[in-house]
Order: sequence, then C-alpha cells, then structure tokens
Amino acid sequence: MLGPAWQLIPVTVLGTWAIVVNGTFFAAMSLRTRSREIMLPLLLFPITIPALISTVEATTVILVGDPATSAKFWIVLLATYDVMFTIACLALFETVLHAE
Amino acid sequence: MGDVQRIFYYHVPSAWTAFLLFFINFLASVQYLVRRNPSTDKVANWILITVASGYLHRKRGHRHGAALKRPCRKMLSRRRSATTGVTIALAYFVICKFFSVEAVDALAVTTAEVGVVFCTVVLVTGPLWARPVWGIWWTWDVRLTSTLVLWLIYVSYLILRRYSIQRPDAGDGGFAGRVRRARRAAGVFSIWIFRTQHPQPVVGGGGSIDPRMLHVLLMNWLAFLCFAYLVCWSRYRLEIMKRESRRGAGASIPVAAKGAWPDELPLRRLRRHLGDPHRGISSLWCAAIPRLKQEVDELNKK
Repeated sequence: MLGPAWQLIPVTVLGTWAIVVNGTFFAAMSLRTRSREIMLPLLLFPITIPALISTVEATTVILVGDPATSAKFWIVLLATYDVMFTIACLALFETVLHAE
Repeated sequence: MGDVQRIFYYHVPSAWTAFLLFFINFLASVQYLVRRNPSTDKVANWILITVASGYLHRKRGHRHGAALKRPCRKMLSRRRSATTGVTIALAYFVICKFFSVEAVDALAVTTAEVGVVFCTVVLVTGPLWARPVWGIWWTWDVRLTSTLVLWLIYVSYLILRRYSIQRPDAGDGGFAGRVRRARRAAGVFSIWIFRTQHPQPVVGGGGSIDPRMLHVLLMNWLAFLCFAYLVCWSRYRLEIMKRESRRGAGASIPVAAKGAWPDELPLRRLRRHLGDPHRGISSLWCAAIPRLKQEVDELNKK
C-alpha cells in the first residue's frame, strides 16, 4: 500500500540538502571553539530538528499511503527550511570563516 | 479546573516575556552583524523602511472599500501581519538609536540569558499544568516541541559563546571575532523562531477568556516585564563592565562601549530603594558591580 512514491524523491533530496548545508556551516563555526567534538552535535542537533522531523513525517505519510493524509505540508516545510538556511548559511559563511 | 488553572497566570506571562526577550535578541543579533559594515547597514535600513511603509500603505488602502468584501478573519490576520511588520521595523530602529554596535552585542547576551530562564519556567510549569488537565506530562504537539527546540537552541547558543576560543593575546580582534561568530549564530537561530512560533493555534488557551481573567493576566505580564527588565539591566551593566575591564587590560584602547542607560543613576536609585545593598536578593548584583568597577580602575592605572 504505497502512497505516491515519487514524493520520496523530493523528500530525499531536500532532507539531504538540509543536513549538508547545516553540517558544513556549523562545522566551520565550531572549528575554533574549545572541545569542538562536543560543540558540533550540540549545535547541529537543535538546528536540524525541524528538518529531521519533517523528513520523517513526510516519509511516514508517503509509505503508509493513507489517501486521507498528504505529505504536502511536510514537504513544503522542508523546502522552506532549506531555502532559509541555504540563504542564511551562504550569506554568513564568510563571516564565520574570517571570524578571527 | 480549580487551583491548577492558577498556574496559567505564571505560565503565560513568562512565555510572553521569554518570546519578547528572544525577539529583542534576534533584532540585536541582526544589528550586530549588519552594522559592522556600513553598506549592509544602509541596505538593511532601506529594506526595513520599505517593508514598513508598504505595510502601512496597504493597511490604509484596505480600509477604504475592500473591508466588506473580504472575510473577517482574513482582514484580521492581514492587519496583524501589518502590525507585526511595523513593530519589527520600529523596534529595530529604537535599538539602533540607543545602542552602539558593541552594546548591541551585550544586549544580545543579556536577553538570551534572561530569556532562557523564562523559557525554562515555561517548560517546567507547562507539564505541571498539563498533568492534571490533559492527563499527560508532555505531548509532541507542534507548539510544545517548538518551544523545547527553541530552548535547546538558545542553550547551545549560550554554550557556544562561552566555549569559543579567545586568543591569549586577546586584543580587540580575538574578542570581536568570537563575538561575531556567536552573533551570527544567533541570527540563524532566531529566524527559526519566527517560522515555528507563528502558525499554531493556542493550545490550552481555550476559546474566549473572561475579561477579569484577562486583566489579571495582563497585570501579571506587566510585573513579569518589570522583573525581566530589572534582571536584564543588571546583567547588561555587568556585561559592559566586564568588557571595559577586559579592554582596559589589552592596551590604551578607548572605552567605546557605553550603555544606553545614563551612568550609574538607576543603580543608585535602586540601592536607595533596597536599603543595604549587601542584604537581600539584590546583594549579588549590587556587590558585583562595584567590584568590577574597582578592577577597571586598577587596570586603567596600570
């Protein structure tokens, strides 16, 4: 009982992109902190929660395939998140790298 | 609901206060990033002016004819979003007027710290209320989750600020860099707040509210605001003092970070009200400020 399976493609792409963008950005940011091994997950986790939640929820809805529910909301949320964080990270990456 | 309902008067004002503080933190963070560079500063100012005046214009335009055609709720939400837009711009310029670039950063730390305290209160009292009323301590509702995430983000923000490396030869550069990085983080965080805090319905607020309850609630909020202001103000003074002493240790760099408050006046007034500064809750702040001042003087002498 698979739902509209093609929706898994945008979910995968967007979810991966969210993690890639934030991971790179926060890795650069925690580069110069003390005990950076702890700092990176500490920073990355709360920031990535919305992306993780919407990815998981969207996948659940698609796999369950209940016609009454739609993954649209979660996909849109994920896309919004991606757009915002991509812009913010690109705009601020310079600042982070040169913060010395 | 009996006595349990009374926690409402504690929970909701702290939530509003926390969100207000985080909002100030957001604006301060953005300003710290933007105002270091004159061109981005100008761009940001013009964007804000454009957005605010656009909202004002639209608001006025709709009052003429379209009111009857549009569904009431849509009208209301539009007016609310217009108010929000104008408020953001106004608050931005107020902070801009009263705080220098360095002071804006101190303001951001202050509001983040105090905001986290209030947010903790919200997260503790919420389950206390939910247990008897809903029968569960916690549910993964959008609003609850987003508040929790918000709290987590701000805690990690504060940790990041504390754990950033400061070079041993801490001139202005190392410090500014550390701060800038943290500030940037705050910018990102706070964008997040706005996305999450908006769309949900009020959980537990429940339909309409008795006007008498509303009065009590608003009075309570006022009290909470006063308290938050007092704590923020003390913390802000401490932060500025700390920076001045640190800068004094560096070299003969002039002390640039002057606060928005007139020098020392409110503190004296506060002391007079509280009597002996070494007694009571305020002793912590009142004792710490003169000590820091003394340190600054000594360092300056050297």
